[in-house]
Amino acid sequence: MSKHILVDGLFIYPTPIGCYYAVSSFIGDDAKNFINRLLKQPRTPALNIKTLKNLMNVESEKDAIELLHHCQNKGWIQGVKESIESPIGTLDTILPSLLDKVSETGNVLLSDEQGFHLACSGFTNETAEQLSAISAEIETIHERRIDMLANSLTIDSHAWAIVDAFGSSQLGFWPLFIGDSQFVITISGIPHFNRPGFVTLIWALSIRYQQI
Amino acid sequence: MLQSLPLFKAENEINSASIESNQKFLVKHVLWTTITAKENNDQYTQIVFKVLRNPKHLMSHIQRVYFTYTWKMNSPLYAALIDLLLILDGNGKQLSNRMISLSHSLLSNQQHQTLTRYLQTQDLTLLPENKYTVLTKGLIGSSILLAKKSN
Repeated sequence: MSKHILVDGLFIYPTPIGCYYAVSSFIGDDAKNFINRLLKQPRTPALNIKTLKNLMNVESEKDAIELLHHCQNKGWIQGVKESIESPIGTLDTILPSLLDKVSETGNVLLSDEQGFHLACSGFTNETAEQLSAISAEIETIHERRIDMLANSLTIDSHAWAIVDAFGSSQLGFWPLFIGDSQFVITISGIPHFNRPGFVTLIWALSIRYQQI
Repeated sequence: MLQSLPLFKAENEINSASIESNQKFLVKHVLWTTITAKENNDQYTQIVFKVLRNPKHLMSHIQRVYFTYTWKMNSPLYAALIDLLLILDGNGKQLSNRMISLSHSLLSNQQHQTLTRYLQTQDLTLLPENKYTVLTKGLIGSSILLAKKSN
């Protein structure tokens, strides 16, 4: 028997760090699949065993509670008191304001793996196009060298950055793996993936692009 | 934002006593910077990255508070205090009190009340985040979804 019970009256919602974990690598696991399915829902679902088993794709209550416990300990999920609706509107209209929230300077760009920019905040159009092309080139290099980076240097991160003399990122490129699609978020200066707006951003992209 | 800040004093304008008393609060390269808003901005970014790299290194937090206070950066100062309180997690009450009382003149009444109320209650949910906080978790709900069975 499980030693835990579900807290009543909550709806399940990923945390910013949970979202980052779910989309920052293409290597899946049970927790990532759970969060990704959560991000495909049109509303935050009620916290109950039936919903959990469905979202986690597990048969037993014990397995569901164990996975939820793991996610809770990692800080990847939270419970909200009222159900939240997924972001409404076309990506063109909602992305720029969401991008603005993940950067201190407001200079953020979202592009696809082909090097086309989907949305941008702060950068001029010309700069955004150039940065999108750079981000695609970096992804090509990363794909070519990923085995060496992971195996020889044990670097798991897929993100790249242009750094200053102190090793701080001046311009960072973070890939987002959403379903079969890959995007790159480019941020000038200090990234703020710790903001609630990051969850909304990933939710909006997941609703549109995730096929799970 | 930083465009409106006062310029750094030139290195030779800072008297030696002031340097000595403040030295432990300065990032080594603060004294290099003298002129442009961009340099100030770079300096601020450096300090925040130091906090991000090692969130439990108290001196980096103090440097961040000192820097944002010195350059009258209200919202970044408030964020620096919030991140410091989060890391202290109820410890270091004298340090917390000192940082908040010294920063009082640059905080709004509401900001000051929020921080002092937190010190009294140690209720983490009272600590808000703003655009400049880097150690907040961005929660909008409860982190507890599972409770232990009583028997």
